Amino acid sequence: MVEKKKEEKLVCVDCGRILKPEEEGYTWGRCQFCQKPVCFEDTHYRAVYKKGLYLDNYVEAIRLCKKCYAERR
Amino acid sequence: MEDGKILSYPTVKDAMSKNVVTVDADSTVETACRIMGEKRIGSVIVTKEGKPIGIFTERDLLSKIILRNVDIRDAKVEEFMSKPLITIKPETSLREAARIMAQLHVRRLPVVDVEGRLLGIFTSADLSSALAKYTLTF
Repeated sequence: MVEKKKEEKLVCVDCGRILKPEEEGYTWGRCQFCQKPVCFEDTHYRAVYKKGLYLDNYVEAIRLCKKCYAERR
Repeated sequence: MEDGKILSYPTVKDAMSKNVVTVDADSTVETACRIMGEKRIGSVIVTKEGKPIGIFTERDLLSKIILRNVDIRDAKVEEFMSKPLITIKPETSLREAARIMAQLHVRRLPVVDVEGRLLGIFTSADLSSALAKYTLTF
């Protein structure tokens, strides 16, 4: 029996635009909180503190969808 | 691009400046300014015990030093630098880096790896050079 792999329909969580998998990182990316795909036109960026092995405390710009951005204002 | 399909796209790693000019946090503003003049750059990364803690830019010099008539021979660069540093990862696409710069109102983004190690700096000048080099669709 051949198992059919469920393909996730790639649409922007904010505007509903259909996204191409091969364009990830170029025209769209995943919200770094909810992991939902969001096109770059609707992406918001927020500077958040991060902890690394080398740097104890640094700030990184992270990608967010409209909902997660509004929740963390 | 071929038939609307993007085969590969340039990333920050391809366009960033790998030689990051740094000054120690205890250095004077005069030292930082001299380095910026000699190297013909608009900013220096400020480090403490070898780790980046901030950035001293031309804007800091104008708004925090010149405007307030601060003596640059006595002023420590740590007191007048901009912080925190807003960083990005080397695998970020140039398109996304440009958007980050525009949205967060910064012109310089230090590039760090997952452990927070400083790999380079990506500036608006690097973005301009990349635009001339690569075919980017914005």
